[in-house]
Amino acid sequence: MKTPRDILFQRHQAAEPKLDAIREAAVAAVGSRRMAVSPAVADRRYHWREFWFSLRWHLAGMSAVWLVIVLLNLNIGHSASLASAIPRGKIPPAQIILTSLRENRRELLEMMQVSESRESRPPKLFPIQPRSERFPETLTA
Amino acid sequence: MLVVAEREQLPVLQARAGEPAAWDTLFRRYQLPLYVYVFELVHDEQASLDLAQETFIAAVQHVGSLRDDEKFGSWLFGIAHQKCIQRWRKQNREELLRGEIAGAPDEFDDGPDDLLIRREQETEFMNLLNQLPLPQRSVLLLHFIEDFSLEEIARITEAQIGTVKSRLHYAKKALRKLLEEKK
Repeated sequence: MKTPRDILFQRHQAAEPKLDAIREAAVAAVGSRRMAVSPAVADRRYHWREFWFSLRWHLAGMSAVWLVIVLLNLNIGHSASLASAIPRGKIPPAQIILTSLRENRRELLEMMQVSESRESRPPKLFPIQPRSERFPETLTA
Repeated sequence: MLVVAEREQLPVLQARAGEPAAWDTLFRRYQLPLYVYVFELVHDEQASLDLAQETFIAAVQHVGSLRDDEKFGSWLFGIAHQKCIQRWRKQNREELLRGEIAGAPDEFDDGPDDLLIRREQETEFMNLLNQLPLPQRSVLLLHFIEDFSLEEIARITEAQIGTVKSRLHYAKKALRKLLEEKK
Protein backbone atom coordinates (compact mmCIF):
# COMPACT_ATOMS: atom_id res chain seq x y z
CA MET A 1 0.00 0.00 0.00
CA LYS A 2 1.30 3.45 -0.94
CA THR A 3 0.24 6.97 -0.26
CA PRO A 4 -0.67 9.24 -3.21
CA ARG A 5 2.55 11.20 -2.53
CA ASP A 6 4.69 8.07 -2.88
CA ILE A 7 3.05 7.20 -6.18
CA LEU A 8 3.42 10.72 -7.57
CA PHE A 9 7.09 11.03 -6.60
CA GLN A 10 7.92 7.59 -7.89
CA ARG A 11 6.42 8.40 -11.26
CA HIS A 12 8.61 11.48 -11.66
CA GLN A 13 11.83 10.20 -10.11
CA ALA A 14 13.35 10.01 -13.59
CA ALA A 15 13.19 13.78 -13.95
CA GLU A 16 15.64 14.29 -11.04
CA PRO A 17 18.83 14.61 -13.17
CA LYS A 18 17.18 17.30 -15.30
CA LEU A 19 15.94 19.07 -12.21
CA ASP A 20 19.45 18.93 -10.73
CA ALA A 21 20.77 20.67 -13.83
CA ILE A 22 18.09 23.34 -13.57
CA ARG A 23 18.86 23.83 -9.90
CA GLU A 24 22.59 24.16 -10.54
CA ALA A 25 21.95 26.76 -13.25
CA ALA A 26 19.67 28.75 -10.96
CA VAL A 27 22.17 28.61 -8.10
CA ALA A 28 24.97 29.69 -10.44
CA ALA A 29 22.83 32.68 -11.41
CA VAL A 30 22.44 33.51 -7.71
CA GLY A 31 26.22 33.33 -7.28
CA SER A 32 26.83 35.70 -10.18
CA ARG A 33 24.43 38.34 -8.87
CA ARG A 34 25.23 37.82 -5.23
CA MET A 35 25.32 40.96 -3.19
CA ALA A 36 27.91 41.31 -0.46
CA VAL A 37 25.47 41.55 2.41
CA SER A 38 25.44 39.54 5.60
CA PRO A 39 22.27 37.77 6.86
CA ALA A 40 22.10 40.35 9.65
CA VAL A 41 22.02 43.17 7.12
CA ALA A 42 19.40 41.35 5.08
CA ASP A 43 17.37 40.82 8.24
CA ARG A 44 17.67 44.52 9.16
CA ARG A 45 16.61 45.55 5.65
CA TYR A 46 13.65 43.20 5.89
CA HIS A 47 12.55 44.68 9.23
CA TRP A 48 12.97 48.23 7.91
CA ARG A 49 10.81 47.38 4.92
CA GLU A 50 8.20 45.87 7.23
CA PHE A 51 8.33 48.97 9.43
CA TRP A 52 7.76 51.39 6.53
CA PHE A 53 5.08 49.12 5.09
CA SER A 54 3.16 49.22 8.37
CA LEU A 55 3.30 53.04 8.32
CA ARG A 56 2.09 53.41 4.75
CA TRP A 57 -1.36 54.82 5.64
CA HIS A 58 0.04 57.29 8.17
CA LEU A 59 2.59 58.46 5.63
CA ALA A 60 -0.09 58.83 2.98
CA GLY A 61 -2.19 60.94 5.38
CA MET A 62 0.75 63.13 6.35
CA SER A 63 1.64 63.61 2.69
CA ALA A 64 -1.92 64.75 1.97
CA VAL A 65 -1.79 67.26 4.87
CA TRP A 66 1.54 68.62 3.67
CA LEU A 67 0.19 68.92 0.16
CA VAL A 68 -2.72 71.03 1.42
CA ILE A 69 -0.32 73.22 3.42
CA VAL A 70 1.91 73.75 0.40
CA LEU A 71 -1.10 74.65 -1.78
CA LEU A 72 -2.36 77.16 0.80
CA ASN A 73 1.12 78.68 1.04
CA LEU A 74 1.29 79.03 -2.70
CA ASN A 75 -2.09 80.80 -2.68
CA ILE A 76 -0.98 83.33 -0.03
CA GLY A 77 2.25 83.94 -1.86
CA HIS A 78 0.26 84.60 -5.01
CA SER A 79 -1.90 87.38 -3.41
CA ALA A 80 1.20 89.01 -1.87
CA SER A 81 2.89 88.97 -5.20
CA LEU A 82 -0.20 90.70 -6.71
CA ALA A 83 0.27 93.68 -4.33
CA SER A 84 3.92 93.89 -5.14
CA ALA A 85 3.10 93.73 -8.82
CA ILE A 86 1.80 97.37 -8.85
CA PRO A 87 4.42 99.48 -10.63
CA ARG A 88 6.31 101.96 -8.44
CA GLY A 89 5.56 104.88 -10.76
CA LYS A 90 1.81 104.49 -10.18
CA ILE A 91 2.03 104.82 -6.37
CA PRO A 92 1.21 108.46 -5.37
CA PRO A 93 3.54 110.39 -3.01
CA ALA A 94 3.06 110.02 0.75
CA GLN A 95 1.72 113.57 1.24
CA ILE A 96 -1.13 113.02 -1.23
CA ILE A 97 -2.01 109.74 0.45
CA LEU A 98 -2.11 111.47 3.88
CA THR A 99 -4.28 114.31 2.59
CA SER A 100 -6.63 111.87 1.00
CA LEU A 101 -6.86 109.85 4.22
CA ARG A 102 -7.58 112.99 6.25
CA GLU A 103 -10.30 114.00 3.78
CA ASN A 104 -11.86 110.54 4.04
CA ARG A 105 -11.80 110.73 7.80
CA ARG A 106 -13.48 114.18 7.81
CA GLU A 107 -16.23 113.00 5.50
CA LEU A 108 -16.78 109.95 7.65
CA LEU A 109 -17.11 112.08 10.82
CA GLU A 110 -19.59 114.39 9.09
CA MET A 111 -21.70 111.44 8.03
CA MET A 112 -21.67 110.08 11.57
CA GLN A 113 -22.78 113.44 13.02
CA VAL A 114 -25.61 113.68 10.50
CA SER A 115 -26.88 110.23 11.34
CA GLU A 116 -26.72 111.00 15.08
CA SER A 117 -28.79 114.19 14.68
CA ARG A 118 -31.36 112.28 12.63
CA GLU A 119 -31.65 109.65 15.30
CA SER A 120 -32.31 112.27 17.99
CA ARG A 121 -35.03 114.07 15.96
CA PRO A 122 -38.09 111.71 16.05
CA PRO A 123 -40.31 112.49 19.08
CA LYS A 124 -40.78 109.83 21.66
CA LEU A 125 -44.41 108.87 22.04
CA PHE A 126 -43.88 107.39 25.44
CA PRO A 127 -40.99 109.19 27.00
CA ILE A 128 -39.37 107.23 29.70
CA GLN A 129 -39.78 109.00 33.01
CA PRO A 130 -38.55 108.15 36.46
CA ARG A 131 -41.06 106.08 38.38
CA SER A 132 -41.33 108.79 41.11
CA GLU A 133 -42.65 111.34 38.56
CA ARG A 134 -45.33 109.07 37.19
CA PHE A 135 -46.97 108.03 40.43
CA PRO A 136 -48.80 111.33 41.25
CA GLU A 137 -50.73 111.24 37.95
CA THR A 138 -52.15 107.80 38.62
CA LEU A 139 -53.07 108.78 42.12
CA THR A 140 -55.08 111.89 41.04
CA ALA A 141 -57.01 109.82 38.52
CA MET B 1 10.61 8.96 0.04
CA LEU B 2 10.54 12.66 0.76
CA VAL B 3 9.11 13.26 4.19
CA VAL B 4 7.24 16.52 4.58
CA ALA B 5 8.31 17.92 7.91
CA GLU B 6 5.97 20.24 9.75
CA ARG B 7 8.58 22.74 10.83
CA GLU B 8 11.71 22.39 8.76
CA GLN B 9 14.70 24.55 9.43
CA LEU B 10 15.23 26.00 5.98
CA PRO B 11 17.96 28.59 5.35
CA VAL B 12 15.57 31.26 4.08
CA LEU B 13 17.33 34.13 5.84
CA GLN B 14 20.65 33.17 4.27
CA ALA B 15 18.91 32.90 0.90
CA ARG B 16 17.62 36.44 1.36
CA ALA B 17 21.25 37.49 1.76
CA GLY B 18 22.02 35.89 -1.60
CA GLU B 19 23.99 32.88 -0.42
CA PRO B 20 24.12 30.30 -3.23
CA ALA B 21 24.45 27.40 -0.77
CA ALA B 22 21.19 28.40 0.91
CA TRP B 23 19.39 28.58 -2.42
CA ASP B 24 20.83 25.20 -3.34
CA THR B 25 19.36 23.68 -0.18
CA LEU B 26 15.97 25.28 -0.78
CA PHE B 27 15.78 24.26 -4.43
CA ARG B 28 16.98 20.75 -3.66
CA ARG B 29 14.20 20.43 -1.09
CA TYR B 30 11.44 21.65 -3.43
CA GLN B 31 12.57 20.71 -6.95
CA LEU B 32 10.78 17.36 -7.18
CA PRO B 33 7.53 18.33 -5.38
CA LEU B 34 7.33 21.47 -7.49
CA TYR B 35 7.98 19.57 -10.71
CA VAL B 36 5.37 16.93 -9.81
CA TYR B 37 2.78 19.63 -9.15
CA VAL B 38 3.49 21.49 -12.38
CA PHE B 39 3.71 18.35 -14.48
CA GLU B 40 0.41 16.96 -13.22
CA LEU B 41 -1.23 20.24 -14.19
CA VAL B 42 0.30 20.84 -17.61
CA HIS B 43 1.17 17.26 -18.69
CA ASP B 44 4.17 18.34 -20.69
CA GLU B 45 7.68 17.43 -19.57
CA GLN B 46 9.56 20.23 -21.32
CA ALA B 47 7.01 22.85 -20.28
CA SER B 48 7.19 21.58 -16.69
CA LEU B 49 10.98 21.84 -16.63
CA ASP B 50 10.77 25.36 -18.09
CA LEU B 51 8.18 26.37 -15.52
CA ALA B 52 10.29 24.94 -12.68
CA GLN B 53 13.28 26.93 -13.90
CA GLU B 54 11.23 30.12 -14.25
CA THR B 55 9.88 29.57 -10.74
CA PHE B 56 13.39 29.26 -9.30
CA ILE B 57 14.57 32.41 -11.05
CA ALA B 58 11.48 34.36 -9.97
CA ALA B 59 12.02 33.15 -6.39
CA VAL B 60 15.58 34.51 -6.37
CA GLN B 61 14.47 37.81 -7.89
CA HIS B 62 11.45 38.36 -5.64
CA VAL B 63 12.49 36.80 -2.34
CA GLY B 64 12.08 40.28 -0.83
CA SER B 65 8.32 39.95 -1.23
CA LEU B 66 8.25 36.83 0.98
CA ARG B 67 6.73 38.10 4.22
CA ASP B 68 7.00 35.00 6.40
CA ASP B 69 10.06 32.74 6.15
CA GLU B 70 8.02 29.83 7.51
CA LYS B 71 5.82 30.01 4.43
CA PHE B 72 8.62 29.69 1.89
CA GLY B 73 7.17 26.44 0.49
CA SER B 74 3.68 27.74 -0.14
CA TRP B 75 5.15 30.99 -1.50
CA LEU B 76 7.26 29.01 -3.99
CA PHE B 77 4.27 26.89 -5.05
CA GLY B 78 2.27 30.10 -5.42
CA ILE B 79 4.83 31.36 -7.94
CA ALA B 80 4.67 28.05 -9.83
CA HIS B 81 0.87 28.17 -9.83
CA GLN B 82 0.94 31.69 -11.26
CA LYS B 83 3.38 30.55 -13.94
CA CYS B 84 0.94 27.77 -14.91
CA ILE B 85 -1.92 30.28 -15.11
CA GLN B 86 0.20 32.57 -17.30
CA ARG B 87 0.88 29.62 -19.57
CA TRP B 88 -2.82 28.74 -19.79
CA ARG B 89 -3.68 32.38 -20.38
CA LYS B 90 -1.49 32.25 -23.46
CA GLN B 91 -3.38 29.15 -24.55
CA ASN B 92 -6.80 30.58 -23.54
CA ARG B 93 -7.27 27.78 -21.05
CA GLU B 94 -7.52 29.95 -18.00
CA GLU B 95 -11.25 29.34 -17.56
CA LEU B 96 -10.46 25.68 -16.88
CA LEU B 97 -8.93 26.61 -13.57
CA ARG B 98 -11.75 28.91 -12.56
CA GLY B 99 -14.60 26.38 -12.49
CA GLU B 100 -16.45 26.42 -9.17
CA ILE B 101 -18.29 23.75 -7.26
CA ALA B 102 -21.39 24.77 -5.37
CA GLY B 103 -21.60 24.05 -1.66
CA ALA B 104 -18.77 23.36 0.77
CA PRO B 105 -18.69 20.34 3.08
CA ASP B 106 -19.10 20.93 6.79
CA GLU B 107 -16.08 18.98 7.93
CA PHE B 108 -12.57 18.37 6.66
CA ASP B 109 -10.43 16.26 8.91
CA ASP B 110 -8.49 13.63 6.96
CA GLY B 111 -4.82 13.92 6.01
CA PRO B 112 -3.11 13.17 2.68
CA ASP B 113 -1.90 9.76 3.85
CA ASP B 114 -5.33 8.49 4.82
CA LEU B 115 -5.87 7.39 1.27
CA LEU B 116 -3.83 4.27 0.71
CA ILE B 117 -3.52 2.77 -2.73
CA ARG B 118 -2.65 -0.79 -3.64
CA ARG B 119 -0.06 -1.48 -6.31
CA GLU B 120 -2.69 -2.68 -8.79
CA GLN B 121 -4.67 0.52 -8.23
CA GLU B 122 -1.81 2.91 -9.02
CA THR B 123 -2.64 3.27 -12.71
CA GLU B 124 -6.30 3.74 -11.90
CA PHE B 125 -5.38 6.38 -9.36
CA MET B 126 -3.32 8.33 -11.87
CA ASN B 127 -6.05 8.02 -14.50
CA LEU B 128 -8.63 9.36 -12.13
CA LEU B 129 -6.37 12.17 -11.00
CA ASN B 130 -6.01 13.24 -14.61
CA GLN B 131 -9.76 13.08 -15.17
CA LEU B 132 -10.47 15.52 -12.35
CA PRO B 133 -11.25 19.11 -13.32
CA LEU B 134 -8.17 21.35 -13.04
CA PRO B 135 -9.29 23.25 -9.92
CA GLN B 136 -9.89 20.02 -8.02
CA ARG B 137 -6.70 18.43 -9.32
CA SER B 138 -4.64 21.45 -8.31
CA VAL B 139 -5.99 21.46 -4.76
CA LEU B 140 -5.65 17.70 -4.40
CA LEU B 141 -2.04 17.74 -5.62
CA LEU B 142 -1.08 20.47 -3.16
CA HIS B 143 -2.71 18.44 -0.40
CA PHE B 144 -1.02 15.19 -1.39
CA ILE B 145 2.43 16.52 -2.28
CA GLU B 146 3.16 18.93 0.55
CA ASP B 147 0.22 18.51 2.92
CA PHE B 148 -0.38 22.25 2.79
CA SER B 149 -3.07 23.64 5.06
CA LEU B 150 -6.34 24.91 3.60
CA GLU B 151 -5.17 28.49 4.18
CA GLU B 152 -1.92 27.84 2.32
CA ILE B 153 -3.71 26.13 -0.58
CA ALA B 154 -6.14 29.06 -0.71
CA ARG B 155 -3.20 31.47 -0.88
CA ILE B 156 -1.39 29.46 -3.56
CA THR B 157 -4.45 29.07 -5.78
CA GLU B 158 -5.85 32.52 -4.93
CA ALA B 159 -9.21 31.02 -3.95
CA GLN B 160 -11.47 31.30 -0.92
CA ILE B 161 -10.90 28.78 1.87
CA GLY B 162 -14.49 27.56 1.48
CA THR B 163 -13.88 26.92 -2.20
CA VAL B 164 -10.67 25.02 -1.46
CA LYS B 165 -12.45 22.93 1.16
CA SER B 166 -15.20 22.13 -1.29
CA ARG B 167 -12.82 21.20 -4.12
CA LEU B 168 -10.77 18.97 -1.86
CA HIS B 169 -13.84 17.26 -0.48
CA TYR B 170 -15.30 16.44 -3.89
CA ALA B 171 -11.95 15.38 -5.35
CA LYS B 172 -11.26 12.97 -2.50
CA LYS B 173 -14.81 11.67 -2.61
CA ALA B 174 -14.45 10.95 -6.32
CA LEU B 175 -11.11 9.20 -5.73
CA ARG B 176 -12.49 7.06 -2.91
CA LYS B 177 -15.50 6.09 -4.98
CA LEU B 178 -13.32 4.95 -7.84
CA LEU B 179 -10.95 3.02 -5.61
CA GLU B 180 -13.86 1.24 -3.92
CA GLU B 181 -15.39 0.37 -7.29
CA LYS B 182 -12.14 -1.20 -8.42
CA LYS B 183 -11.74 -3.40 -5.35
